[in-house]
Parts: sequence; structure tokens; C-alpha cells
Amino acid sequence: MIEKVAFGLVTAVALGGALGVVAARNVFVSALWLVLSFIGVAGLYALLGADFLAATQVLIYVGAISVLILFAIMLTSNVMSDERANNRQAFLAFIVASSVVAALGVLGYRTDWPVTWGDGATIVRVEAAAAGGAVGASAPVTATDGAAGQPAGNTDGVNRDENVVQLGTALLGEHLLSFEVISLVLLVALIGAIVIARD
Amino acid sequence: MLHALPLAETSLSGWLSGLISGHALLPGEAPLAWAVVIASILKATVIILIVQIGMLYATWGERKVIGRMQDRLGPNRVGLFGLAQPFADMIKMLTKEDITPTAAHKWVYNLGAILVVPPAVIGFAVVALDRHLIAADLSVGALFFFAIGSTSVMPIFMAGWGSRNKYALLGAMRAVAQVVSYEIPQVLSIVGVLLLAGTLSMNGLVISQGPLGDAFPGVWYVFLQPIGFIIFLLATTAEIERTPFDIPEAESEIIAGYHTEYAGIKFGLFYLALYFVTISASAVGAILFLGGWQPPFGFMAGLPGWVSMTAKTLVLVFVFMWLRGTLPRLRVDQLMAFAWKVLVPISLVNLMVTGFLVKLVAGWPPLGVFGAFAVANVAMVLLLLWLVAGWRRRSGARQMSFDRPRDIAAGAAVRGGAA
Repeated sequence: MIEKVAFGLVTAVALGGALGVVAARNVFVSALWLVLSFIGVAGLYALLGADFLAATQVLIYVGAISVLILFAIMLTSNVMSDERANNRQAFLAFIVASSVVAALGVLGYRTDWPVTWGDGATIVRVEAAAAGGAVGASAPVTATDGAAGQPAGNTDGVNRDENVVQLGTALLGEHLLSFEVISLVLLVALIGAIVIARD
Repeated sequence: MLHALPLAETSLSGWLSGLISGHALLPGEAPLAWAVVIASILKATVIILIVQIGMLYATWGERKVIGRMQDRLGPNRVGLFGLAQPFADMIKMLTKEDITPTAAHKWVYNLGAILVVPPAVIGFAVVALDRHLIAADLSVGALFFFAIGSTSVMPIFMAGWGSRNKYALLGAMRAVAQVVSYEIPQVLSIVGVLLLAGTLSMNGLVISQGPLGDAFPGVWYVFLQPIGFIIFLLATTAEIERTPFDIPEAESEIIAGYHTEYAGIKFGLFYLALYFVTISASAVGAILFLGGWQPPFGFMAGLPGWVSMTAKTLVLVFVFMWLRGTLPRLRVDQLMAFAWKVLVPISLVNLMVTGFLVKLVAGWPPLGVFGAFAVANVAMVLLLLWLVAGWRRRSGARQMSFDRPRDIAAGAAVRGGAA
């Protein structure tokens, strides 16, 4: 019940923010709506039990990327004007965007996601915490929920989550190549930015 | 957050759920779930009240401390020792006229003032005043705190842009330039601590610094990570916009920066948020580097945890006031050059050395671990001094004085090294 209410709220924030981005008249206000949408996505991660991803989403998307977007907007010449940012290609943009959403939706629906349902200990702990049978039954409690590797009776009062450990092991183990390639791409972008700035 | 509740939270929720089901206030299958919601609201109320009182007396304390440092008395008219001064200020702010400039973008202008408070308050959710006095001991507590802190620049942007005033806009631009400069060294400076503790949970971080810790000698991380601590202090001074880094609201240059156009309680909200962040950043500094709620000495073992925690937090708050009373303001380009050319490289070296040492000293006796870290830290400081000396010699002692003002908006700060 509570999970569903929270999911509804968070989804409304994410979708409402996205709607605001395309509906706002001013490009600065659009960017502010985008921030709201990012926060909604962070809420979705938190609801799925991915606390680390939720915090990272806020840190990177709200705290860094949105700041860069707003910074770039502020450096434009007519930042103070109330000029309408939209043009006549709204319908075309709508078609492109909805086909991308449709393609992603079909892909997401057809993919056989490796969802591991919570083992007994996890569900017991979730029920002890929230006592809502709906939580254990409806939410896809993943194996990263923390109870997997340790006894459910969290005796010393410290909340140790295996989530971060698993993520780190996966990044530097199974996905090491993609991790290194991404860092290389970022390094190239950094050097490129410095070269352009020095010219 | 329902899936991971610490002991204190479940006991409060358990008591509340008994209350709810006993009185049949809420029909339905999940009284405990509602109890969690009610308990969270109660805890949020308590946090806001405590922090509010703390903030009021932080303003009083700051005016007294700065007054003494400048050979003045500070507030002493309203009440004993001026103790009622914060309440007089509060009444003044609440009764002032509420002005919205005609040119301002109404929604963004007003929302900017309202939204500046929540990021400052939410951070307190993961501050552990005592082992069980913590609203939410998240498994990613430390990361949560800095993630929330990074959002606090958004309302500043909204205030600066929504005011439609060139000084406000300049202040917002300076705030952003400051954020991108301090945020990276700030986060890098605490990664060393996180490597040592092996956890992101606030209670876990505190426990790992005491006799209960299993991985490393039970000493505060300030002794193992002194360089990280100093970088954290400098970056946090920039975060809370205090002299020498009060560049976004430098009143002698751009009036009051992004809150130039705000009056009355809307200005009060900006003031409030800055003090909230000062207190919460000091508290997190105490948790990360000064042992949190653990008593400072062995013979004080009977002392309640919140007493040690409050004392350590107040010491750090005093350090920030002390810095403000002592140092003049830097220029924007000086802060950026300092953060990018000095703090970021040092914190990266510190991180690499710490990561190497954590692997090297695993299984050593406590004294050996401490000695290894002491040697490494002294070596890093000597290396830094040698580098700075060489740098000053090559550039004829001109580089560190940064004596050429540059336009940061044109991106000239990046070009500075080549010119």
C-alpha cells in the first residue's frame, strides 16, 4: 500500500518534471523542470532498494550535470529575456520521441531481466520492517538487498549494505573492459576540452 | 527506505504500531507501515526543532566570537549577555515588508527562497548524534549527505536568475564557479576515510574509529588522514560560503550576490540555510574525522554519546567562525586556481597513498599501522612543500600571488596556465 503510494508520487514527479521540460516557455525554467525529473528517477532507484544508485543519481545528475546545463544557459547572451524557446518542429519532435519510447518499451518488455526474487530471510526482514505483505510480494526485491550475505538479526545497529560491494566487484570484475573504456573516453573528452580552451 | 531499518527506528515504529492497532485508528492490514510514516514525521519535526534552536544560538555565538576577535563586545543589550538577540532578529525579519521586484520571474524568485532550506535540513537525517539518535542510518549515509549537499546550488541559481538583477546573476555565477571548484576535492578528501572504514554508514564510520572497530587501530581518522581533514575543512568553508571563500555574496563587490533582491523572511531563509549547512557540515566532519559520538578519552566512557558529538561539532563550528574572523576574502580566480591546481592534485595523491597503505598494512599491529600512516603523511607534506617551493622559484614568486585578475566567465581561468 505505502509502496504503491510512494511509487505513484515518485513517478508523478519524474513524469511531471519531464512534461514541464517540454512545456515550459523559458529554456531556464525547462532546465529546472529537468532537475525535478532527475530527482523523481532517484526516487525510483530508492524504491527499488538501490540506495547507492539513488544517491549517485542525485550527486551526478542534479548536483553536476544540471549545474552544467544551467551554467551554459546563463552564459548565453539573452539569459534575462523571456523569449519563447520552442519552435515549429514540436510535432516532428513528438513523433521522434514517441517512437524512441515505443522502441525502448518493446525492448524492455521483451528482455528477460535477471530478477532474483528475495530469499526467505529478506522477505522476513522486509515484513518485520514494514509489515506490509505487499512489499515482499510485489516489489522485485533483488539479491542486493543486503540480507543475502549476513544474518537478518542486524545486532550491532549498523546498517551494512552489500549493494555497494557488489557494484564495485561487478565494475572491476565482470565489466572491467567497459569501465576502462568509459574512463578512457572521459580522459579524451577532458584533454579535448583543455586543447579547445587553450586555442 | 522501508527495507532497512535500524534498531531505534523499529522500536519507535513498533510502539506506534501497537498504539495504532490498539486504538483501531487506522483499519487495514499494515499498521506498522503507517507507524513508520508517522515515526518519520515525528523524527523530522524533532530534527527541525533542534536544528532551529541550534541555528539561532549559532548566530548569537558567531556575533559574540567575531566581536571579541575584532575587539568589540558583540550583542549584549537584549536579555542576559544578549541571549535574546536571535529572537529579536527573528521578529524583525518576520515583520519586514515582503517585496517581489516587478522585473523578477515570480515563480522562480519565490521558489528559490523556499527551496534553499530543504537541502540544508535533509542532510541532518543521516547525522548520528548518538548510536541510536539518528533519523535514518542509511547504508550509503556519507554519500547521501554529500549528494544532498550538491543540490543546494540549484535554489541559489534560481534566486540569482529569478531576481533579474545583474548583481544577483553575478553572485549565482560565482556560486556555481565555486561549487565546481570545491566539490571535487571535498568528495575526494573523504574517500580516504571511507577506504579505511570500509563502510558508508554513519554509525559504521563512528564505530570503526573506536575500540569496537575491527579493521584498524581505534583512533580518529584525523590522525590517519590529516591531509584529508584539512582539505575537507577548506572545501567545506567554500561550501558554506564563509570568509575567506564568501565570494558569491561578497558585499563589498556585488552587494549581497544572489540574495540581493530578497527582503524580510525570504532573506532570512537564505541566512537560515547557511547556518544549517554550517552545523550539519561540522557534524559530518566530526563523524568522519573526530570519532563522532565516541568519547574522546578512555576514562570518559560513561559520557553520553550526544555530549561528545555536540562538543566536537561545536569545536568545528568555532573553527569556521575563527577562519571568518581571521582571513580576508579571496578573489574568484584565486579560489578556482587554489582548488583545481592545489587541492585536487593533493587529494588525489592522498587517495592513492591511502589505498596503497590500506592493502599494505592489513594485519599489522595498531602501532605499526599508525607509524606507517605517520611516515606517509609526513612524506606527502614534504613533497608538497618541495613542489610549492620549486613552483614559486620558477615563476619568480609571482604564481601564488595570482596578481592578474581574470574573467572567469570567459573561461579564462582554464587558459591561465598557458598564458
